[in-house]
Amino acid sequence: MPGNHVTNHGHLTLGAPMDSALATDNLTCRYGRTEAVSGLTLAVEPGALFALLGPNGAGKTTTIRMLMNILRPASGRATVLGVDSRRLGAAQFKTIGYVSENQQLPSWMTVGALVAYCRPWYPSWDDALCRKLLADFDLPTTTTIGRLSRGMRVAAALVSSLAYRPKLLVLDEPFSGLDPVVRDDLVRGVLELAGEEQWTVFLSSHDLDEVERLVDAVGFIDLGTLVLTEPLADLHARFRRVEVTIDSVASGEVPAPEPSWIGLQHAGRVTRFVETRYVDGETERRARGAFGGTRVEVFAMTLREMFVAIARDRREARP
Amino acid sequence: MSELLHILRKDLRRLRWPLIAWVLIVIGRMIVATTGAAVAFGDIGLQLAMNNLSVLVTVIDLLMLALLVSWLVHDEPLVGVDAFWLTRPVDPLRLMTAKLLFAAVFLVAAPAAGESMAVARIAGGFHDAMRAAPGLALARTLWVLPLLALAVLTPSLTRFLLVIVGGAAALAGLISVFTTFVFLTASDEALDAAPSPLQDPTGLIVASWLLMATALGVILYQYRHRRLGRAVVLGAAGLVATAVIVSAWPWHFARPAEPDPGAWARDARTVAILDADPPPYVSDAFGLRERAAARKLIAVPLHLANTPPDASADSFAVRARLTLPDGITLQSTQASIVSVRRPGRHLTPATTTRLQAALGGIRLLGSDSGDYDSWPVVLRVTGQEYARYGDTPGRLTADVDALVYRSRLSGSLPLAAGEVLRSGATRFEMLQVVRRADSCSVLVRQSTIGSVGRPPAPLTYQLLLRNAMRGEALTGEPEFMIGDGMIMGSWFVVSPGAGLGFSFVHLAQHYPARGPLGSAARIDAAWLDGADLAFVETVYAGRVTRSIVAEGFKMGSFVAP
Repeated sequence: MPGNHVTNHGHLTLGAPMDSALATDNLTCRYGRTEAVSGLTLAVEPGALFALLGPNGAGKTTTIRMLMNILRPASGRATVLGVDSRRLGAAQFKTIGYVSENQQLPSWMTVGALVAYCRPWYPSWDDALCRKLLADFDLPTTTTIGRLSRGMRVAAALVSSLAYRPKLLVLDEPFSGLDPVVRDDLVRGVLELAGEEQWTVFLSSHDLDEVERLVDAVGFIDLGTLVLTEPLADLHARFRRVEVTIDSVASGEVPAPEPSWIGLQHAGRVTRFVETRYVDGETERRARGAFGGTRVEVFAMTLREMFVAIARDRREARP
Repeated sequence: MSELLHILRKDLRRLRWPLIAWVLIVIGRMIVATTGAAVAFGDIGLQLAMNNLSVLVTVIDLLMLALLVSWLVHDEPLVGVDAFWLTRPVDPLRLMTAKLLFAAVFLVAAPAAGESMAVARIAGGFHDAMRAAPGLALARTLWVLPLLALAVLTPSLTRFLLVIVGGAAALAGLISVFTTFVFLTASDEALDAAPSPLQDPTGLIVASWLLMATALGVILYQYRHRRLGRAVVLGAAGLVATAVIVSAWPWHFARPAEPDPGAWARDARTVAILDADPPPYVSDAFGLRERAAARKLIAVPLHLANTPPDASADSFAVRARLTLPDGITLQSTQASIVSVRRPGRHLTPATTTRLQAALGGIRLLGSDSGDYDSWPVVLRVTGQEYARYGDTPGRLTADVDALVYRSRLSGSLPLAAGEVLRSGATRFEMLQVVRRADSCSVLVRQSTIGSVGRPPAPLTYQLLLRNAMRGEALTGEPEFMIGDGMIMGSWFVVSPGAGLGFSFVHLAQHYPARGPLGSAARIDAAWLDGADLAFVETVYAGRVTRSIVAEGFKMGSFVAP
């Protein structure tokens, strides 16, 4: 649903208004002949916690790099805090925090030196918050970054990106590959702050369990194309796993599925599918009518299950 | 400004130890270069060790410079997408200014100042150090800017070093291809006129400025736009443009004026004389390729008459035309000289005459050339032409360009260490004197301060051991020296005295010259007691052009055995 607009209240609206914290319009990026991101249009309102999901190589990182003016779009445009992403510069980065899994921090600096180096760049730098974060993440300030573990390095990057209370926090899979305890600490730290400060958070991840706890809206990108963008609550409301059990295996024709049913599977007397437009009672009635089943069971789905169902459906639909 | 200082402080904090190490290496290099020759004088093994040490320290010096440039730039790399600074409130142009400022202060000005201090110590004065400083700084800049340009085109130290190694290999390959091409296509004919020994540094100056502009352009573009492909194209275009512009540059603003040899050169009595006796000397031509061996060189006893005693024509270019009775003409342009043995004759070369004139009434011992004479080549013909027309008399007409050199006594030094002689931009310092019963060795340091825009005059010095009371002087021969000098502030490898900044060379001489010619001069302790070291300066004095006509000239009257 290109053009959808996710608000901090979980509502979905159309278009990409200029007062969005972040908006893209038909954004495209190519590496040679390969189109890494194709015509991506979305908008995130101030205060929203938005996750861009997708399998590896889907175009998540490329999208974020275009948003951060690290890569130039081949066509289309993006605005970040009301500024064209191609004009994003020193003035805008005073209010943007960016942490990426691949980000190269100056490895020769100690954590303390990194903080001291960053501090003068940001007028809104909060020393008290910085000290709190250093303590919360248990970061040794006298150790050089090159000697830190990967988790500690991410924590150092987060401290240097959170201590100035950014209006927009962009996280490009920062927690991938970390052990669960460290990840949980970091995620909780970021969540608490973002909630308290009403920051806009835009993160990419393929760790769906983590995202489900963190964000209030998601976008799903696959092969560079945005498949959907929607509040998480809406997704939970309209996605259901449906199991229809019939008394005996019919020898006749297999009934045509509804357009909103994906991942249809028949196993003996049981037929399973995912309903993407669930309406309480109505879905059960239509399933019973289609398959002549005697028993229809409907299950709520996790984000991971929805993601897998959509990804499989797209893979099967590919020529 | 505060952001600039903030970045500068950070870079200085990071690079303080490598900078200190580099300074120590530069100082070590100076010490090895200035004291090595004196320490190892007369000891070949020690010289070899000092030379190896000097080469090692020089390589480390350059390597450290490359490392410092890389560390400076790659802390905030311009290539790649993962750099920390890309998403921080760092203005790229301020970042560039900070980096250039750091490079200017710590990688150019500081080492140039250090080298200037070394110049002050070697050349003996603050004034000399100040004169050398611009050249030293410019030469450092010519190293640092291209390295900075390479660094902004690479993401890391590894890639940076790989590009340097690859670039050096590509350059070596290019030189190899070019040399092969030149050898395959070279003509064995000489240029139309004898090339002037005066250097024209215009091309080098223009190339230097264009290369610096190209490097700066690449640096500025990368910091502004961070577009690797376009920046590489910009750099490549700059290099191509430099080559094209330099080759077609019309205004030779730095070319020195051709000197006027003097009124005698315009005098009608000054003529080129071709002696009828002895007959021409014929030899096989040495060529770059096999086919050239089939050619014959015809040399004749040609000299300039009416030259002042302190002047002589050391080289000639001859455009000759031999017209034979049947209308056949043979012509060539040659600028070579062959050594001809004339048994039974005792010859004094023109250069010796010139030296003696410079020394006044002093007799120069052991400098005769025996029975060898030097003759310019007037014609170059094929083997077939020579076989067919060698004995046919014809009319030889030739335009002769004679390059004239003059010598003068520029001063002398007592035979004592520490004595100093100044001659224009050149300074001589006696470092060591070794007296023996029948010989003497001296070690002299010759240092020259170069000019940024003007090359030094092509001066050569001959160091003669002189006993004025006895009215005698000796020529010596060079002692074997390994790694006998150092050039500071030269971008390209050039001979001492032609550098941008400052150069020195150690001259080790043994008196009298060994061998049969030198043995004619015998000295002893008493002779040495009254001796000093005389410096005769020889300078290019200009060109004299004359025509000669010889009727009944035969190429093949005389053939070398």
